Amino acid sequence: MPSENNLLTAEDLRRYGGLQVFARQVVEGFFSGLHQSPHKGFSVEFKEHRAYVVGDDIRSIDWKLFGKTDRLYIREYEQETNLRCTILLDASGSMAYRGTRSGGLSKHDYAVRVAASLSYLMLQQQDSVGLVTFDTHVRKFIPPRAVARHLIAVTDALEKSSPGGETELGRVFHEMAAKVPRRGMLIVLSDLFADVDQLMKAIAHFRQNQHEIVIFQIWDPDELDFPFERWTQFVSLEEAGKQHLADPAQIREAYLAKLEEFREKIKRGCSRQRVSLVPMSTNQPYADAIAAHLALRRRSG
Amino acid sequence: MILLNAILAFGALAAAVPLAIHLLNRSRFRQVDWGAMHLLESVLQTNQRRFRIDQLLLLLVRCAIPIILALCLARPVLTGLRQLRGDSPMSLLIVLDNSYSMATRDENESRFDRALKEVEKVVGSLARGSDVNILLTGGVPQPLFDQSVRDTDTLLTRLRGVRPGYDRSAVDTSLDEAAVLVSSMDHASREVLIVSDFQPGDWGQLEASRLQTFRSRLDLAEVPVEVTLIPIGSAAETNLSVEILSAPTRSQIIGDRVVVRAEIRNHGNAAVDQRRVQFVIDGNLVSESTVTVAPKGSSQVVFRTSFDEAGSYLATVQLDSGDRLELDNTADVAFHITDAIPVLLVDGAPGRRPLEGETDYLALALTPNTFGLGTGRDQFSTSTVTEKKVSAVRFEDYAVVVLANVRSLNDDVVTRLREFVLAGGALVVAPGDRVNVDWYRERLSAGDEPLLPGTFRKATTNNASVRVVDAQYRHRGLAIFDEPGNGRLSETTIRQWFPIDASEASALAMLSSGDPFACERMLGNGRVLQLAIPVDQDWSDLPLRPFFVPLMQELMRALAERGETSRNLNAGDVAILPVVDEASKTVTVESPTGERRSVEIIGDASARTIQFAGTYFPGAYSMSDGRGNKTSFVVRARRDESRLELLDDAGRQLLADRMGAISVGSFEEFEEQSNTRKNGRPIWRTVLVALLALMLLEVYLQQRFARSPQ
Repeated sequence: MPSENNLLTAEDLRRYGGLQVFARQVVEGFFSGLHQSPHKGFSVEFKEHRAYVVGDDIRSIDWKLFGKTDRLYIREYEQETNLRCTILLDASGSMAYRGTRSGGLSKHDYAVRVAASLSYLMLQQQDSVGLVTFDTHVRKFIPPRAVARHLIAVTDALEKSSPGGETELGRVFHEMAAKVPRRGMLIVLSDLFADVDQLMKAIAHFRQNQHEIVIFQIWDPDELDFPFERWTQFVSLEEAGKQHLADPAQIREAYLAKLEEFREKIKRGCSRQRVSLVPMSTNQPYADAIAAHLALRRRSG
Repeated sequence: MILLNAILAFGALAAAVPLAIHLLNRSRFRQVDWGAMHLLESVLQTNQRRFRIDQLLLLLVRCAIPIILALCLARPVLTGLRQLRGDSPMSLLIVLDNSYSMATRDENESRFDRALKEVEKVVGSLARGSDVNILLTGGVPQPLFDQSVRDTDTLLTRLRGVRPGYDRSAVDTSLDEAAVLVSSMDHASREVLIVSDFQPGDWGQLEASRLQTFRSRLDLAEVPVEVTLIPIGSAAETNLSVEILSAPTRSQIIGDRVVVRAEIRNHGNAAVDQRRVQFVIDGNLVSESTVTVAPKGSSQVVFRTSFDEAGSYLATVQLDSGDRLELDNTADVAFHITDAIPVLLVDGAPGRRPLEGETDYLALALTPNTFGLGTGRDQFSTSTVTEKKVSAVRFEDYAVVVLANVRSLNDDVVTRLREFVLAGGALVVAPGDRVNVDWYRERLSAGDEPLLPGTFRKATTNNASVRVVDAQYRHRGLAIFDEPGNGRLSETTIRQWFPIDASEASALAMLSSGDPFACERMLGNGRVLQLAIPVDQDWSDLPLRPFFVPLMQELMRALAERGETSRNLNAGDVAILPVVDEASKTVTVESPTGERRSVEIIGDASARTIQFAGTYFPGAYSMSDGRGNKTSFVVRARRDESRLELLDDAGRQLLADRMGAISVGSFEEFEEQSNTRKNGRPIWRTVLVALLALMLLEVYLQQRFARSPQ
């Protein structure tokens, strides 16, 4: 396992550098306008100029001012309050679902990329980022840190995370509520395929500690519109041996009704708990997640 | 039920296709590793039973569609328990009404024309090999062919030559004839169509038992026979008809006044005013009149005329009516006008002074105008000879020979007399005091075929008088005594007479003594009248009676009619007409339909006649011999059908019920029923509707059970 003190092999660079590079591309692409965000009205406000010192990002140099003054200044933006953010990544079996319209990505893959992008962003903003991966219990807990090199640990954990097992969101959240006592932001990346009532109780537990919670509910487009035509044997990704043979055309309407009911319940529950719920689909641009986070970040403070 | 295209029914096996597809789909399922199982399970647990029912229902509908489609293509036909005829040949008898009421015009065509068209269609639609016959019911029922035929072209050609206008439908005998014709037909499937306007006067009078008898006769056949009644035409509320009420029925003498009395009858509910009636003789208008007739009433018109020349004449009474039935607006009557009837009087005891001879009174009675007793022409011409000179006379020049008080005749005369009578001549034997009773007995009253009807016995000698017994005399010669104003034959006082031994049947009248007054017999074509008394006043006061003249004239005229039938016949009567031409072997008879037929002349030179039996069509006929001599005769038409009412549906149905038949309203209805009987009731349309309903149901169920992704 690589650390910041070890020499990085080519493979390491290729491997670990991939997600980081991806995350940086997503974030910088967002800011450069390559990735259009549906979250309108967001902007990072300019605060002041300060003299360039060695080590500053040369991309922050205001060349226009240099043209005027012949001195190097960097642009400084509105600094957000330093935030302790913990990303909770659902690695249960249901997150392994990979539809045909998600570009080959499972929900877990998508959530990993979102988590990486958000981690990069927050570290760039000198916020603290931590990571928790879980299924029926917490698999990995990386406490939040604000150093840039913490990204390696986070992306390493993300890279190694693979979905499987059942879901026990409620128990995990209760467990994490005890582990993350300090007030901060919790970013949940999950499909929330669990008992909603238990989940809301756990969220209420978090809210007692005055955590700000953002839930990115990850969906695959197939789960949202149930496009299957032929007779299909649905095999559970969480419980071994559980499968059902059904005519999708026959059950589609009922499934969608049930889906709507489920989503509505979660929405109501989150609203009651004053939890931000951001539905995301695996065919949706990652920049949407970035924009949503920044909007929420700004609102909180 | 049967299937007309049974092979296509095997397409029902395609019902296995939806089932196979269903099973295949279930077996060739796609496997998906699914994360939202909690949502899916929730749905499946709640609706599992309903899903199964829905699937089963949809599967059943999908399987039913090819079955129903196959059934539809196989053309199912409901047959009940009967064996269908299909396209196999059949035997068809069409009982076609061609009575004169069928000439009634409905719109632009007559009922008969309409019937012909429809019959042609029916015949044309028969399966190959079918045999057909047509029985025409007007007047005397006649089949178009003696046996049913399979050559429908020939049948139709002959049928097109048939016209309506015959006497009223002889329904009763037609049914008998129909039963006979059907029994001799070829095929196992037999049908009788009765096509008529079904007038109450023809059909409504039939007793139920008569109709049931008809049905029973059909049922006796080895195969079932179906009978259908098809009406033609619509009732007409107005119609006028002409009928000859009275006209001379026997030959008239030149100069005779001929009186024709015609009746104009109004069969409608509205009065008719001032309708013109014309009296036409041989195409020439003689006189005309106008009539006014009350509703359902009648008026009589009398036409009088006389003829100056002997010959055959055809008179027609024509009514200017303009109604829908024109055939009953004319009535014909034929007259035969002859010269005076020649009578030979053989006086056995001529007198020296008038009225002293044996035949003087008779000559006076037969030719009163000749003797200056009246004006006009005498109907008779008389020649008188003595007994001695009779052998030089040609009897064939006379119609009647009277032997008055002739003692005896030589054998040659007797032989010629016999021949004369056999050939159609009439002989009157009036006895007297000179009669040789033994000779008469031996020469004229003996043998197997005696000349005289009876045998004279010796004349009475006592002075007791007798009279002729009053009775209803059957002989035409005594018909004058039917009129009270003409006196009574019993008024005659008879002082002496010859008793005659003869059968009672030959006696014209009887004396109060029990002896015949006169006897008559037929011998060959002629007649012999044997009187018991002379025709002078020696033994009776008969010649002094006022009725002597008409009595003698009627007796002579009755005797002079040589067995010919009237020139005015009823349909079906045999016309027997004398032929004057001695050279020709045949004559031509033209009927009112325009048909000309050659008829052979029968008889010898003394009496040549024809017998013509084709008097089926009412109207005027004409017989022409080789010399161009024409003789007219008429077949009378009864006017029973001039009341143009028709049986209503209920009446026809009653008729049908009684004869075990089916009554339809039209030929179209018959065609439909015939197709059903022939092919059963096709139900493919119903099945097609069911198929479409199933397909719509399938689409509906499909949509209902499944929704497109939102």
